[in-house]
Amino acid sequence: MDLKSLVQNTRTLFSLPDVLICINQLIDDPNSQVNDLAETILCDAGLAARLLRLANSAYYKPQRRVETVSHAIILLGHRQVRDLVMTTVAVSIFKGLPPELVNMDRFWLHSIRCGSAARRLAQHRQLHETEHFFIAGLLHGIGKLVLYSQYPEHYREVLELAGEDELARIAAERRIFKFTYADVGAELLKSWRLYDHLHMAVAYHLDPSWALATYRLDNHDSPCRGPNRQQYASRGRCSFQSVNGRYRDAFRATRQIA
Amino acid sequence: MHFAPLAKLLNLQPELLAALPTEIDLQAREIFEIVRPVPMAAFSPYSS
Repeated sequence: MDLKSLVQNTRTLFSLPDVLICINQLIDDPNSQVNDLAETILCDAGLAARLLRLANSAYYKPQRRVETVSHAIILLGHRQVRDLVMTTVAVSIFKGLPPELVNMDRFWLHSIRCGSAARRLAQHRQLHETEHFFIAGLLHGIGKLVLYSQYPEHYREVLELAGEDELARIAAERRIFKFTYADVGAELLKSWRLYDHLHMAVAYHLDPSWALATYRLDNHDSPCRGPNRQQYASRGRCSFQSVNGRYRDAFRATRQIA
Repeated sequence: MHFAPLAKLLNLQPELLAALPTEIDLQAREIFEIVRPVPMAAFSPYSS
């Protein structure tokens, strides 16, 4: 099994719709107007309806009913609009996977929780562009969906070996595929070209200690970057079981949040 | 729940993290209800 071929073969199946690409460009363009964005969103009736529903939700508690997409954009802000559009698109791209392999409701609820938690942590750390953290959390597991869709029989083997234990599943993926869902997700996201750091966040979310310092938020030395790097590198790719209990504990705490 | 390892890793107060699961869950359920695929005839832009 070859990672790059797998993603290459599924690029058409799991491609981003034009409306998302257009919306992303408008949000990133400092000269774009609210009406430009509204008109683009209105090209997709489902998206427009969802945006209105979010703006009218209990979470935003508008003083009066929001009835136009322009009003919704002003109320929610461009970044929240991007979060919603990305979530809607991601959910719609991966429809129709084998229900015996994945409960999609559970998968997406967990993914949205991860996105919300990542954004909240970034806000606590007073970082900029917190919607990027939401999207990274939201999409961190999409590699699993690619594996479920392309290799359902092999993934059944993973489930038989590992059951519900997440760490055991990762080990079983490495054994059967020679890569993990994180590698697959990162490769797919690289092909989507959303923004630079997204695929790095997904690629290293299982092994944060292996990521370059540029992509890390912690302030600790890591055995992977320190004088013992060679020793760890010689074991092959770092894993949080073998290298760094600190990350394993943090990973478990993160699972409790999301 | 033990948030101390994550809080230490990110230089945050554990109390900040302890409040997160409830807040995150409510927000995520709301977003999920909005984005989940449903026939548009059954979808209202105003109900929540």
